[in-house]
Amino acid sequence: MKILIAEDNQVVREVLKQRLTQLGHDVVVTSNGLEAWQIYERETVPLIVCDWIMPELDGLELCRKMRSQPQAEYTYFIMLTVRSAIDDYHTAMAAGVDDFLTKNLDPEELLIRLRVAERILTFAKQVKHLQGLLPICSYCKRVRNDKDYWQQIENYIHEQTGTDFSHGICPECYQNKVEPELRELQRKTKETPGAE
Amino acid sequence: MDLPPQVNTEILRDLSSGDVEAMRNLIALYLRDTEQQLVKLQTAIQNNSVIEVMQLAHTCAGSSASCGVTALVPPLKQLEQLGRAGQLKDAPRLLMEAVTTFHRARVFLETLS
Repeated sequence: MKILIAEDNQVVREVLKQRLTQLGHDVVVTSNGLEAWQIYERETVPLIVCDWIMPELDGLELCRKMRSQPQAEYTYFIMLTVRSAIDDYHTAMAAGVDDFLTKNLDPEELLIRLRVAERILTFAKQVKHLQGLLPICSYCKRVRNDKDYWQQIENYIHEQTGTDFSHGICPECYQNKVEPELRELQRKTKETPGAE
Repeated sequence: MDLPPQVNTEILRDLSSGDVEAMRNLIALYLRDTEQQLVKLQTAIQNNSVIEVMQLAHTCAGSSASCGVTALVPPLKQLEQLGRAGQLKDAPRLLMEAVTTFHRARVFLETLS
């Protein structure tokens, strides 16, 4: 996965780059928020690991800017910090930060956070796909999935999201379909010899 | 005799993937950078620049923690908190503690590189 680092301290930057490269990621390094913003504007960035306090543009402002101009694909934002006050976390979450990492950069913790990020990014892609235009047959109402198979819309949604359907009847269909069928059934019952 | 400072050498070895030269370079980078940060921190305290104290201590604590020099983190975190609170009364004492710890860590780290 492509990961953008925005960190002004050379040591932390180097350590983070080393850790992420060891985990097999494609790492792009910047030393301030403005450089990171310039890269974000011209490239798809699935994940950013960013320091809070930086020259030019700090992490919080960078995140606010990114959220105000979202890319086609969602960017997962991890704030790198030694802050611990709960108000700081509230402020960062309100700005659009997804997760936090302390600067001791524990490799296990880093690995776990990246797994969560990858999972969320996969969900974000699926939701975006669902929100986009779905090819649907005008007659049978089946939809074409991403493997080019036509399937019932309820099966498609179930596979994509895990949603189950209860199969009720809406008032309009009850009036237009069910009631005439019931009337027809009653009529047939009356006409049948021996029926009550 | 002083006990060796609290340094997690596993972190340094792991970061360098066992490459001795890479570890040497990282230690040199850390020592150079931290020395500069501590000098800037001293100036910021003398000038009562609370925001600068907070930012410098924050950065220095982060780089120390990520290089395994954990002994340096507590005084730097306290300095960061003092900066945030805008009250630097105890800052010179904490800086002295940080500088002393750093020099002990330097001696130890230089034996590794």
